[in-house]
Amino acid sequence: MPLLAYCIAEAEAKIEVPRSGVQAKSIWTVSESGLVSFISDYSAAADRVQVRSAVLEFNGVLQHLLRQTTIAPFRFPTVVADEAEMRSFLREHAGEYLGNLQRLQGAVQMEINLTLDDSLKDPALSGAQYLRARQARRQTLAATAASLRKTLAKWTKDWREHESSGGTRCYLLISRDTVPLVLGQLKSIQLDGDLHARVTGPWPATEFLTGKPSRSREKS
Amino acid sequence: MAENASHLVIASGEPNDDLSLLDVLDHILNKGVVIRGKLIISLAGVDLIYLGLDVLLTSVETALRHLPQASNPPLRPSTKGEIE
Repeated sequence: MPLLAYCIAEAEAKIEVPRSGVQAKSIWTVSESGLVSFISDYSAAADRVQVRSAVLEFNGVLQHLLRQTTIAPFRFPTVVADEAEMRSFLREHAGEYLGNLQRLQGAVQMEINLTLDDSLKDPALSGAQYLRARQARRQTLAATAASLRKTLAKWTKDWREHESSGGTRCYLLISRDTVPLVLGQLKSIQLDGDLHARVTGPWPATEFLTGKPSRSREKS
Repeated sequence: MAENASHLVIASGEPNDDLSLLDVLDHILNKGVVIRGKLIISLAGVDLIYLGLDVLLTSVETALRHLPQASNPPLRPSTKGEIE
């Protein structure tokens, strides 16, 4: 039976392994080269309901482990044939993931998705008006993100921003211990006008993982 | 659990929280370490299901990003790892 891979952590970390994971299968660990990977047996989900359950169970395992240590999650559903394949993967990428996990030790990722009510769909807008509205929109989002960054600077180890189709996504790298403080601060923030903010987390710090292999290497 | 305070929503990310289900899907399906290589194409059934999951649950943008990979699976001699 194929094995579902959940995440990678440092082998030295003392972790209570969840009793069961996706499809109520037992979770166990594979250790190699200073890393530990969490896996369970996996049968491919057949319909939407099963897939939805599997995704939520998978996230439950990640959150359980994230509360205890720093993890690099696998994308769902990453499946390997057997433990030997997982060991081979860990051995090949040990330096990359150990470096990431040590650098991100004790940190988690929070996300703020900033959006504005859409004022650009008005068919009465001329081309010039549309461009001006779009520019103003980007400036508002950028200014809000900058303000949030300043407000949360006390707790933020690192900060990333990406424009999305509907607004701006902000990624905060913070210490796991400061999550309640950051959420408390965010609750006190008042947003102006048409601005909306959606805060989620804590998540594994995937936005701050580095060391992506080059495309030329992929093609080899 | 989710809180509404004017224009700000805080979703805790709990698995049973409907409000954050899309956020969970976004993270689980789109972010993290990826293993690619002969292993996946050697498990033909699993590979197809991987594609099916993305088409079923993620955005059109994500689905389109994966379609070329699935229709033209990589033929590499060893397993590769990638952080996305």
